[in-house]
Amino acid sequence: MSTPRIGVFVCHCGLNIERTVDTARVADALREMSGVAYVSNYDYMCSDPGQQLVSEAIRDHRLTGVVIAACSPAMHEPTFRRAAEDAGMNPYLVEMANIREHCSWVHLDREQATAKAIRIVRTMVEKVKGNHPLDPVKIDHVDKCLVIGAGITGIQAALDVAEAGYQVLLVEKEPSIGGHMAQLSETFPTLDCSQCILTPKMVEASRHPNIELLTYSEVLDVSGYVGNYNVTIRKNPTYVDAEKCNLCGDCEKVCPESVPSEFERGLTERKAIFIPFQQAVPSSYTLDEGSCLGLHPLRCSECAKVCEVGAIDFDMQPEILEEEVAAIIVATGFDLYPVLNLGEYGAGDIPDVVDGLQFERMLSASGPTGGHVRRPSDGKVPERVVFVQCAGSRDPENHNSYCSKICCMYTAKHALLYRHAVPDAEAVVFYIDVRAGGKGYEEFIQNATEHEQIRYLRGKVAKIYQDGDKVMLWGVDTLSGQKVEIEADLVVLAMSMDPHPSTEALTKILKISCGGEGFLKEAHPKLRPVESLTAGIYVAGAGQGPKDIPESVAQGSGAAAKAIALLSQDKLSHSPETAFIDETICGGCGVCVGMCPYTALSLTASGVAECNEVLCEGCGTCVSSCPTGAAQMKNQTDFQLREMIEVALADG
Amino acid sequence: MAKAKIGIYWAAACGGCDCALLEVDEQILDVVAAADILLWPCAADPKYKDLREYKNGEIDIVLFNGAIRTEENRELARLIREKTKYLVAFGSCAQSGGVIGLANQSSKEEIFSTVFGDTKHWPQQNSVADGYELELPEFLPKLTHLADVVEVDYVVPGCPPPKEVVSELFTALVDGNLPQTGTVFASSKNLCEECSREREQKKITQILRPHEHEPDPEKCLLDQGFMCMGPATRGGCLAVCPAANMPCTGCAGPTANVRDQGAAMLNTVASLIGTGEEGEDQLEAEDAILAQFDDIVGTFYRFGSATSIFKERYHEQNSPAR
Repeated sequence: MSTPRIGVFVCHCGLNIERTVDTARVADALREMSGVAYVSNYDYMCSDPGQQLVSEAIRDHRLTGVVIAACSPAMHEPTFRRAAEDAGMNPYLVEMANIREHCSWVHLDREQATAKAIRIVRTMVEKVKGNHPLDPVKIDHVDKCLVIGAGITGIQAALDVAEAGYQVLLVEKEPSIGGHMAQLSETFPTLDCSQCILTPKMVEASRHPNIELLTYSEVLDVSGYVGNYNVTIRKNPTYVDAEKCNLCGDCEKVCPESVPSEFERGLTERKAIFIPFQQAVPSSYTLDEGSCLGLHPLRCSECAKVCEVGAIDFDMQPEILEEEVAAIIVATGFDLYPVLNLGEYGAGDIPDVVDGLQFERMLSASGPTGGHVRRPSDGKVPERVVFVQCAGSRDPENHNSYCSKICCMYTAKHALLYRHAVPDAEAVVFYIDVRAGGKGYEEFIQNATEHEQIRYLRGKVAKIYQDGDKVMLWGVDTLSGQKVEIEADLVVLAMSMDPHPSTEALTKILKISCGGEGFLKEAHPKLRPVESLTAGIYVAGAGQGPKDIPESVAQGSGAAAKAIALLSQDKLSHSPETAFIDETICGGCGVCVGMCPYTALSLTASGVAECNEVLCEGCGTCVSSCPTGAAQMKNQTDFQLREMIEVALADG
Repeated sequence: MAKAKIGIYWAAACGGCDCALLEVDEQILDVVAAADILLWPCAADPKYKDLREYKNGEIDIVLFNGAIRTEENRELARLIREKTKYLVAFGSCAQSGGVIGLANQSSKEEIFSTVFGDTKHWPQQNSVADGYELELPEFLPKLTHLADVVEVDYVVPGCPPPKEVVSELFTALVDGNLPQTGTVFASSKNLCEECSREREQKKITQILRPHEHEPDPEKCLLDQGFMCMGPATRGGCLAVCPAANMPCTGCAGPTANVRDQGAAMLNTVASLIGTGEEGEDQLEAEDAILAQFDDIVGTFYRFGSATSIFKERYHEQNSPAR
């Protein structure tokens, strides 16, 4: 190989680097290093003139590699790789030496920080000496997108992708699409009816020519890679032919089995054959295998007997569908924190202590009480309702440590709607803080506290218990320091939001990760909020973290935009910085095959491992597990790393 | 054509490598026919004086087995290097320090007290025996391998080198057809390539030792929990140990891309250990598997501890050496 001619470009980053690192000395030190042909330092390398400096030096000094001593590669690596490409250099011969996040920002002593910066840059020069030009991997893709979860987020994402002209597979676990939003009465801060704004979207999703709706279905398996994921979906049998069902409801009337209604959150019951709610999409009955007496004419076939159109089919089998999709949007949503965990609040044993979604159903015109607020125990209209915020939230010792974000707003809405429904009634809210960041949100709270005579008590409720036909609450008003005991007719717990229970299993199928709280993890909390770390898999909605409807919709659209950007490409490009196998060394022990989280590795017929670079995400797991050193990373070989360590630890 | 001049020397060694030379059976006659053996302390009785009198480079090739333990080993390694054209590190001890490299885990005092106990009847420096004053070679502070002292041209790995590679070396020698220097006389691939056992890609859920459990003769030893070094070891021996139901001990050393055989295998084993379940609650179960390891250095560095990146044993202050 010819002698390396590496260019080193040291950035001041204004004072971000220069304040702690003497960049002039870094540049001087690098001039002495063997293989370095050109060194320069500049205020802002990432600026246009800075990039030009790099491009010109590549041409004028016939550089064979470039090291930009500046910020993290996560920030500007693409910038400089493009600049190099413009100057005719293969972009993979450009590396960042991070002397900002890894040096100037974390040190105070200028002398030592400068010495460390010099080592960092030398180390990267040594790396670039071993780099090879690489070409991105090109991949063909299919033109379909899978959306998992058909709550408002998933519906929005599906509609956006479909509107852009691509096929969408919208998969929902429940018998109807709509998610939790379908359960809500009115939505804050504008108090428009939730179903009125949701159902048009549900109908649109079901009618859209580009959307294939799969309700009562689950994703069983996902393999493949960006652009070409193979998805296995199970469509559970509803035992009712949706084409034939005319929604007469005769079956429901004769069904002898009742169970608590999931949609009404147990406030009322449903039959074994049921339709979750009137506007359900698809509009068809579902026979729930779990609560049915037995799916067999000999056990009970009351529903089948009365069905005039013969829609009931006890022999319906689960369907296993194999689909190919280019991108996957995960919008699995949330569930409420289990009230069973709240022993101090009665753990669900006190009938007149309800959760926020139950109260939504009480307020809803389509709910079991027809929109009249009546307490579950005796059906009386409650005269005093106490709302308890942060039930299970912001309590790192006992429950979830995080803020569930939407409860302050919906509690104010609950109190306000309750006051409207029962004008003489008293609404009391226990809160820790009122967090009302959002358009029109603070005004909504102000209106609730000032004009609607809702009493806000700052403090946490310590205990809730039944006392006769009343519910007693003990707490402390932390503003006055007084102990508070309040008697309530009904208590509404603003329960913390959990990721939907199905999230964890699904992330294993998709090989994406969850954060510590179990919510779907995004690639970057600020700059890549709707991407997972796996290419082509996006996350959106409350499954990614607590959020309200506008934010969920925005994320749904955001994820859709990402998917559309992918689908609209002629061919997909994949980083060539992948693993490779040295066939002269690999003896085919197969350790790497079992280790690869992306199923990129396999054993060939000739008994050596092979890396499918299309699948490889460059994580390096195979490299560290390979006992022979046959598995290596392109442009990050063990040899390069050893040379880098030598340089990093060398004297002076 | 003049006969080739060859030498065979043993430094700190057990003698097994010399025996291994004879494992080629009648091929040794071809060697004797094609070459004059100028030096072979195990079989003949040449004196160091004779060796010193050869011209530099006069010997064509010397097979050097054993590690560098004493000043005498080191001196002879240097002397032989001068006298021979090609120097072969023959066997694990010459290649990487071998089993006796494990002595580097102990101090000289610990070694001497273990070997000699409190007996007074072993020769002391400058003591007089039969009227001669004894001059004993110095016991070096650390055992090293041949390449640490002089340049080595070929490596024949193994403890002892298997007859297939010895035969390969002899054939090259007799035909006057030695390969490029730097060649290691073994497979470039790992042992798994030559092993006929079935590997199922299983997690290692327990650590077993062959004297305590009988391995299944068909299945991969590592899958079963036996610490078989095969994955991190060069093939060339045709996997005779696994074929005899014994885990590979790693005597042939690592493949060309690996700097530290023990570290490579530890990495692999660390990747494989697990219960098969994921999640933080599995950490304790994994720790329990790790706790079943007995003698990590002796298992993973049986032949390579003297050349490992981790050269010495770190004695934590006030903690008793185990």
